[in-house]
Amino acid sequence: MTKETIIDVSDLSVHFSSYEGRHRVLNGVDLTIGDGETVALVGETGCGKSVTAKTIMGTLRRPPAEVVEGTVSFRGQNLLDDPSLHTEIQSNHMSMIFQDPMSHLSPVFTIGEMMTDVLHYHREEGLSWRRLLTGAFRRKKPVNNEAYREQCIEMLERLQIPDPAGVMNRYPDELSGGMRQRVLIAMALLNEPDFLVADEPTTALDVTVQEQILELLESRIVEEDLSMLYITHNLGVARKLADRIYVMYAGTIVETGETQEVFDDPLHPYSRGLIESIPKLTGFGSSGIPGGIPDYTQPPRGCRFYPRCPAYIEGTCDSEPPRGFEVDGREVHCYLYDDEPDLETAIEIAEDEVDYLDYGATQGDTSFATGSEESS
Amino acid sequence: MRYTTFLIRRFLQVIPVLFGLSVLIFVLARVVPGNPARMALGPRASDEAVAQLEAEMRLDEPIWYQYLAYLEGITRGELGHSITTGRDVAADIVIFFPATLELVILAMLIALVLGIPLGIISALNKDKWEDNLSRGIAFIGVSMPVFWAAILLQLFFAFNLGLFPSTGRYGDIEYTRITGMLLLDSILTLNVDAFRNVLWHLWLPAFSLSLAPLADITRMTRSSFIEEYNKEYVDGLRSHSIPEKLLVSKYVFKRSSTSTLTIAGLDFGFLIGGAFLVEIVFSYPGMARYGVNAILNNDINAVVGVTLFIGLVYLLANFFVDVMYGYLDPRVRKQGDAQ
Repeated sequence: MTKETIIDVSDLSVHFSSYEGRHRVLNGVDLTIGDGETVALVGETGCGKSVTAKTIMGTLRRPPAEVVEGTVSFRGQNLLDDPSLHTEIQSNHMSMIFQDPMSHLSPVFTIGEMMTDVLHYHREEGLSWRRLLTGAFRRKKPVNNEAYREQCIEMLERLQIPDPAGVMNRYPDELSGGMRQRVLIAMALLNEPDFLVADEPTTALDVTVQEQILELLESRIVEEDLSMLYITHNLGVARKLADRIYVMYAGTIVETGETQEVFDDPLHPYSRGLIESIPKLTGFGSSGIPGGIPDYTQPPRGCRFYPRCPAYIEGTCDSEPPRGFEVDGREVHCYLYDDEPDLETAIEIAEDEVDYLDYGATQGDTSFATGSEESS
Repeated sequence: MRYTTFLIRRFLQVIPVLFGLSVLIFVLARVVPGNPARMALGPRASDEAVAQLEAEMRLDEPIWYQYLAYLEGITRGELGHSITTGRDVAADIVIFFPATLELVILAMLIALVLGIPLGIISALNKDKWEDNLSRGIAFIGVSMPVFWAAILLQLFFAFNLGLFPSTGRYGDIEYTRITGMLLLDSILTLNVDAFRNVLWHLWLPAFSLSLAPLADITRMTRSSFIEEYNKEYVDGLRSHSIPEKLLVSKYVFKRSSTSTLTIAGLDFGFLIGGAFLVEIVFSYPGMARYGVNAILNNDINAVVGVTLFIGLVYLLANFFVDVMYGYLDPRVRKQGDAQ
């Protein structure tokens, strides 16, 4: 990669402890994001996308989560070893936007109050109780600070929010879903981040609004020169936004590559299934992937996908997790490509081996053959 | 501001509730067995004397007529004659109630001032020793009957240690009565000695009374705090680098205090009931002795008056809670607009 790496996640394993036992959620995730690059992380619900994002952001609750192995580094600085460094880098360089803008804003404070608080406090590391108390009784609260207000209003304007000064005095439930998401993005951009994590920010919105938000996000990324990790289960959005794409399944990365390449010729059986299961306007012949995400307390040995895989090789797939095999600059974690063939051979292999329609018929599962969107 | 209309409407709701309460308690007081007039005059009084008193108390009239007469009395600020004290019940309440109110308010303050921090500390250190300690305290507070706690505290602090007086409301001091609430009066007259003396007397009763609401408030604050702390907006604001201390003291606290407030409002009723017991234990001259005597002597006007008045105080306390809801949650205010 020619661009400088901004985020480097390497061999990350995160486990969760609960009453049912240990959930081995992330299992050796490798992910890099270059400066100014937009990378999409796709996969079905519950496959560990948000856990990856939270680990990068440092907002993972530990316990119950525990980072067993691996590193996350920002411009070469390892973040996981030093929580205070992580917080500092996060508050100055990273931001996150979320799926549901309603539940991610406090319903009892005005937009302005929250935004000015972010501006006022986001660089305060060791905020003392005493300063907080004196701050609370001071008449000059952040929300009344003209400079802060101006800055917030300007940010809201940049996100094309009509009547930004009025919005500052409103509560989140007085705004529409699209407006709330804009506000959330504005809040995320207040600390002028270099790196933005977007965790399915358009999922809760209807399609027309979704389009607007995406365009807005795209323009912001260009103008503010942001790198972004875009998490989604919506492949169409991933295709529209991302330079590169990571396909994730059950806490492992199964395939990575340039977005267009992956979409044109998905190699991993899971990526193929995922892309084939996008409903098409012509005909109902699309397939799905039978089965569901495995139980994380007892994940399958070897490749985590093999119980659902139409190209499952007995004795190989269920022994060791496949390492990443390189195919024409892409990385595929699948034993089908263990001799690292060139692209054409790889495509041939993929077309021969991976056939969900037949596979589904042998599994006796009818729900997917009729074209359900995505199994989740 | 339409919110004020909402508040006025909410305040006016007190009236029908009070009206219902008055009908209920008025009828109940009159249908329970036992002739108030006979009780007042004793077993040796002649039937003529009883009949005469009955007529004076209008007990020989139809009950709805009695009720209307009672309502008419209220408009003149009269709650009927008490047969035990010989005064108007309203005058009695003015004499006895401030002491109880003072006790209840102090107990509520203690419960809030100790209970909220205890609950928050508990929530922030969930399942650690701080949490177990505060849950232990709350458990004791909830399970111990108030009179029993009062007796234990009295024995230990007053008799064994001698730190506090065991009975009474004030010692050998001079004070000027303005509101009847001695703490307030002594502040108003800048009488430091009186203030200290009264507080010294009040401390034990108020503390024993506060134990149960303290426990309630601790538990409620703890659970609602934990719930709010796990909400997504907290994660969201944290990811926008709002410091943890501000998150806790401002964002989580404001949301979680709604539940605390609810339980505090409900506990207010308990406090007035509990005050009766505590007052007896500490021989504290409040409403308790008056109320208990009224019930034992079938002093119907006093019973109705005291009950109504307590109902009024309870309703006002909960009206205040509702006002606070509006302050804490803008959506409540808007609901007012929609109505």
